[in-house]
Amino acid sequence: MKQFEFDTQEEFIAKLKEIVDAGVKSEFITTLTPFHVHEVDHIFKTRPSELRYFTLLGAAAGFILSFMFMVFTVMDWPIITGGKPLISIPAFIIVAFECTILFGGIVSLLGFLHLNRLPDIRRIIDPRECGNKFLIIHDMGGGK
Amino acid sequence: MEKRKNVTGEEGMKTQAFYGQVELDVIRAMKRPGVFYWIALGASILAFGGGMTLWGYQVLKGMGVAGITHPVGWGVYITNFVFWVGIAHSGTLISAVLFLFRARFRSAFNRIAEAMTVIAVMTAGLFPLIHLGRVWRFYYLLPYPNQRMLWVNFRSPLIWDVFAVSTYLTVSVIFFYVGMVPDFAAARRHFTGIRRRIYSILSLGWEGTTDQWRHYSRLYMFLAAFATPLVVSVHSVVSWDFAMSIVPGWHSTIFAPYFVAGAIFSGTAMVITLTIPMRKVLKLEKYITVDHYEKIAGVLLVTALIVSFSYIVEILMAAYSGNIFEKTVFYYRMTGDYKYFFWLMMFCNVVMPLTLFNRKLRRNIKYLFVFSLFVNIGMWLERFIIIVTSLGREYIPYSWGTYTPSLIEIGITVGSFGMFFTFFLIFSKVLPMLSISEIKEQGVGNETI
Amino acid sequence: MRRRDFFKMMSIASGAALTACKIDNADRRLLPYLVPPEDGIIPGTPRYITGTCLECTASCGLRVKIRDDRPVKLEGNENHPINKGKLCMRGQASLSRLYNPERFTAPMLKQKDGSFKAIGWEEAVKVFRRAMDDVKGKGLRNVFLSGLTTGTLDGFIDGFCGETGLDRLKEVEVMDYGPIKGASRRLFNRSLLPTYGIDRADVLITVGADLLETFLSPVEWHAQIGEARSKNSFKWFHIEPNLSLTGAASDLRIPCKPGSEPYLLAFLLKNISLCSGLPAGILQQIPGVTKKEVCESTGIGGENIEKLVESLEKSQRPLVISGGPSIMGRNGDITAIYTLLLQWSLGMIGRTVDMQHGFSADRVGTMDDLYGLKAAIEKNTVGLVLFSRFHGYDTLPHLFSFLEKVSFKVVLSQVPSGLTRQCDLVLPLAHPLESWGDTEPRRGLRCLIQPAASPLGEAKSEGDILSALSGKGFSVSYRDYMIEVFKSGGIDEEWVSKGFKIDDTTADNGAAKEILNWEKEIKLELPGGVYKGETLYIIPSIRGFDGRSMDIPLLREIPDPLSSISYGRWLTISQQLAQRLKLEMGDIVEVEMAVEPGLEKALLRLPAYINPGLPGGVATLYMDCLGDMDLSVGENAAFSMFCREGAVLRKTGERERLAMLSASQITGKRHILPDEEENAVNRHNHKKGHSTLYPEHEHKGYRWGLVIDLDACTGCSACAAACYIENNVPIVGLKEHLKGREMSWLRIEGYYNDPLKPEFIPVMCQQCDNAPCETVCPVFATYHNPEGLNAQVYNRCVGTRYCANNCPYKVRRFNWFDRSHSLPLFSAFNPDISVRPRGVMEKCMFCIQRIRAARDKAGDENRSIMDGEVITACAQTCPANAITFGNLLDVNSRVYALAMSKGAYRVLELLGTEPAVYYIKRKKNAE
Repeated sequence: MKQFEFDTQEEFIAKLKEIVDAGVKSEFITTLTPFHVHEVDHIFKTRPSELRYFTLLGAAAGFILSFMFMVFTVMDWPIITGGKPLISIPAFIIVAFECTILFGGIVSLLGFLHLNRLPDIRRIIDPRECGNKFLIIHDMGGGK
Repeated sequence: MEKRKNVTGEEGMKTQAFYGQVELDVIRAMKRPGVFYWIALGASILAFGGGMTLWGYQVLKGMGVAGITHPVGWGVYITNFVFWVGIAHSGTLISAVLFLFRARFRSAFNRIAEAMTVIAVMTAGLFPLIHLGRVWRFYYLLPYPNQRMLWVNFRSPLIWDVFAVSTYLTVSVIFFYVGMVPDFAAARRHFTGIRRRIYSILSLGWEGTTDQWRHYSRLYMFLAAFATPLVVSVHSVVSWDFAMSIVPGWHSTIFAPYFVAGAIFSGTAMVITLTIPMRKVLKLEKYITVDHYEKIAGVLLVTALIVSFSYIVEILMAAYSGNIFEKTVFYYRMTGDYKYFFWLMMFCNVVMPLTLFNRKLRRNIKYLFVFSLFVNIGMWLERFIIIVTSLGREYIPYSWGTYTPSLIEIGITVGSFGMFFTFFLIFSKVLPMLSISEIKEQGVGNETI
Repeated sequence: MRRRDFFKMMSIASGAALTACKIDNADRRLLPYLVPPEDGIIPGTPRYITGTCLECTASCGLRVKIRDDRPVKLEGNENHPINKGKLCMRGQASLSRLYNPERFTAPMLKQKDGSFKAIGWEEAVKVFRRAMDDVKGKGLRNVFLSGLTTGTLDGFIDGFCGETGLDRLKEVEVMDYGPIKGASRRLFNRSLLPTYGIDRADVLITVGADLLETFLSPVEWHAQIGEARSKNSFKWFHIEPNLSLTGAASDLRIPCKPGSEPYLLAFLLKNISLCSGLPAGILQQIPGVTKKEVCESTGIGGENIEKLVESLEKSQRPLVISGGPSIMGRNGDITAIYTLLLQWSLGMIGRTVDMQHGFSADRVGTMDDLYGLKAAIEKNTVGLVLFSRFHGYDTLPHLFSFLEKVSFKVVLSQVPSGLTRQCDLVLPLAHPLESWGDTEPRRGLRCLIQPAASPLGEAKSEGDILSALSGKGFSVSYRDYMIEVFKSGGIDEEWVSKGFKIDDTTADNGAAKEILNWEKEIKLELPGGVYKGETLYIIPSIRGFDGRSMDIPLLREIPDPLSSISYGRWLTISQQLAQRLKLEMGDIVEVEMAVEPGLEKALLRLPAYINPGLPGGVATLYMDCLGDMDLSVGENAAFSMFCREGAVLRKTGERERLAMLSASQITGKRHILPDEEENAVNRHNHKKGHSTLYPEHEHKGYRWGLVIDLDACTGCSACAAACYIENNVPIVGLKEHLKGREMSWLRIEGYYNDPLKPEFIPVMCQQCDNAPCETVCPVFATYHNPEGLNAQVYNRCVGTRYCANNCPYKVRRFNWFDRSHSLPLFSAFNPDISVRPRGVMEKCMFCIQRIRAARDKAGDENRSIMDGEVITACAQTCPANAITFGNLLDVNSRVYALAMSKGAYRVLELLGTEPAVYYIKRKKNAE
């Protein structure tokens, strides 16, 4: 396992480029940064995060399920209020919209936690303290 | 990158010293509180407790202890509800909407704004309960399978409120929390004992690996993307509590944009009211600079203009339409029992914001503070006038009436401010007040954008 | 029914009622009967008996609804010749007297320190007899003083007074109709108060007489006017110096200057051809006034005078009645005489004016009799006074203050009052609904008073009390006495079931002969001039009558229709005076009234209500707003007590908030009352329906609807009172009224769009098909039921009040507090409808409990509900028959015909709420 620590972002990026150019595959490199460094994604050429599937799924489920629920409730016990039609589309859309966002947000959060494998009990108890330094850790011997 | 001096006086941004300084400055705000803090917290808790006691009294005795009556069935409680939701919205605007617009000045305010959102929504959410005649049956408002399988009326704007406000609270809490996860990880370094434990747990074992950051920024963007239509839709839904009725002065299509703009307006003013004293006391002037305030004042000006335009539209439509019911309401607003409130509101919301065209005033912190107080008052009065004057001058002249808030209502209003400040003060000591990771990322501080 | 069965029923009813009355707070379980008490009495179903309402002197017939041995609702007796099934607001409210928590349940003896102690009947009788003997021993008189007494009780009291040696004084009533009696005494030698047949007339001219409010028999006149109007050629002119409901309801209201009525009548007498039939001697004594002079002195326009003359000339069966303020003042006597002359010469007597079956109120004494008593008391010749049904004291305490000098005073009373506090011995009187008796409101008609419950505690009916006081104890009851009196006819089944008996033996047949030979050589005074300065009229009101009904809280809760003021006391002034003195609503005005020289000037201080329709120069004050203000004029004054000329009104600078429930008495063009423009637009084409985005409403079987004829509605508020009682609507009091929190489900809105003639519109929940309230309730606590009613589900309501905000008619009422009801008040509740807790919204539901009961009955009999089978409480009691209820889907029903008739419209139709309540207004105001 090779570990490099840097104080500044520029040095960190330079070294990372070096390592990757040297042929080490991105799966074997872990970086630890105090904030999100976008260049890392460029260098690793990662695909967009899989989180988007969770979000889409959650939002769609929210919209459809809430609509189904509302239609079920009015058909199960049809109560006339104010002469409005039983299935009041404009009113239902508002509630469905809110549920879309609600479900979308919650499922996204769950997806995030799943994808990051958080909460990480090991790291809660014994965190890997590296302060504000930029770290590169790779455990393949390839390259230098 | 430009060579500028950063907050530590060193050349170049983003050095370790800078990162350390940011953490120290923010974490310092979370350490031992001073005397003023305790006094402020004590006063807030007193107000909060007082408000809760009065609410308990109202529940025991009945709604009659409030000043609401026939025909004005809604009064100060609903005014407070709309007011607090409005305040919450601008928090989301700053943290979410400005994020999508990549407005970098937001990072000075965004944590405070998010906290304000969450606390304001919690405060706002209490008011629909406070104004219920039978609050012990509040669960009838929730769609749950009961013995008779009677659900709720999805056509009612109040149910839309239930969904909108709960969604808003949930998503805001998620957004708030997610933003703080890396900061908890940073904060745990500076504490020991139980506080360290708690921050560790809250940080979920965050490390800052590539993948974590990758998913994190996606999530943050999606949540911001959700929160943006949420801002618009939630306050639109709250405005539809009024616009979907047939009450003259309420039944107007302009209400949704009018209220959303008004919400941003009043909320931004509240952000200014909160942050100006806070940055002084916690010595965060380096991070929240005059430049930031100038930009925020710009937001205030734009929304004030929208609100002024809405007033003009409403009044013109009432006059031009010739509809006697509409005309009566607006004439009553301008010349009736509440005319002093109306004209004060006009002054605070229409006349005063025009001074913000002057750049010097936009950059004058003291002036902005006083100005934001006026705006808060003016916007509270706006909701009050909309509710009370319209209900007081409806269709049947026999039934017209007026409304005087009772001491209980005033007490509960003060209690709501007490609740807000209690939680806010506690937050400021317990949670990181600025978004540490973002500031580190952008090198904010001493930078003019 | 045989006498024995009848008594059995009565005693079982009394026994059950006694048990019901004795309520043990610890035992709140409902135990059903294992064996029902009597055949035909099923717990949970109502029982009906007849009775008589004694709230005023009219004696309308009642049909008492009894549930579980407690009367819960009073309705009019349909067959009764006086009220024909209707009951006024005072009659409806009189039920609550039965359940007044302050009722005396035992005789009370005043102790040395002024407090009262409860004692037993034996001791009370002993105390009384001892006092009587004391007084006789000193050589003083014992007197009996009561209000109007008719029927068998009259003879009984005579007997009682004879036995015990009490002097029976002339009966005292505040409203003594003196001038009318005086006029007939002078002309016909008989002091008569004739009855009128308005339904037989084609032209009615009322001079001041407040027919619809308090004049003799208001419910009867309501019904008669309705009948007369249905004949289509009826014309009604009302001339008055003030503004009354009667004036508002008339076809043409002609305001006149106070005191100027005799000049108008004189003009009519001299200019109508038939009047030349009067004896020359009389005609000469009537001043000859030209039309111009009449116009000047009365303030009436020439056109209107022409109309009066013309209609009387052309009329076949005219009727002229004078009364109210016009006979109260200095010129009251001469007005009454001229009216009688008019009646005689135009042939009204015997056709539309009935002297033979006159009102029994003619036996009531006048102020002179009272002053005689005062002189006697001041000379110390009176030792003991026994009071019974003496309401005058509480209305005019200063006038009767001389009674305080009497050493021993005994009173028969139901509740504590100013009079009972004066007395030394108070005997608990049973409510008419707990007693046997009869009245004879007018000659030839006997009305039966029947008990519907047994007396509360130790209270007893008057006859029983007097019987005991005369030493006979309670062995022989008044009931037995009555049976004795009617031995020949018996209190037969017919009388009991009908509630009244026509008995022409008591008609005054001699009157006809006298009238034929009337005194033609009498001397008439000239009318005194028109009243100068401000004239203050002190008049009875529709809510409080002469003040006696104001201790019923419901009658204060329902506002006075003309002013919409509920609680408190106020003085009605004109806009002219308000402008001159720069007064606003609620400013306190000081009124200085002229009195006999030597007496202290009488001063009143009251907040002002500015009535848009009251003519300048006139102020009015209701008798129930007097409180303890001193109205005395002095015995020898030429002034009348109730009509004070030359009153001086001053602004004091202080203010008092009036409990005025109406925020504005002008509608403007708001589609509430139709005006000429709206006749085209507002009478929406509701027959065809209008274009809408929403699906058509389907109603299953019934669509309940209400039609209110605004041309017939007089604003008397009887419907409001009936609604309060039928639906357990809470009474909230002054503090809540000042905030606008009255709970009335049905209210009368009075609008002065035309200041000359206010219009009244009863507003209740309109049961809209497209109800704005239903959509916004988050919990489905209000929804549209399949029969077209907007149903409020009390147990689901969480109290967001959005429905009330969204109701354009503002008929939804929120329960701001819980109302506690001390015993026995909650016995008065209608058990068919729940009592709402705090936090719940309530409103009119077209008496859904009655619809439900009818539906159950119809379901049992396998049929649908017939037209007229269900009637809402408001429709049932409306004396003007203005409200019709029924099924709008039934094209043969009366309500459908009325709803589709010309002149039918709906309030705020432009909002598209599709209400089920139609209003009819055909007539314009000034015709």
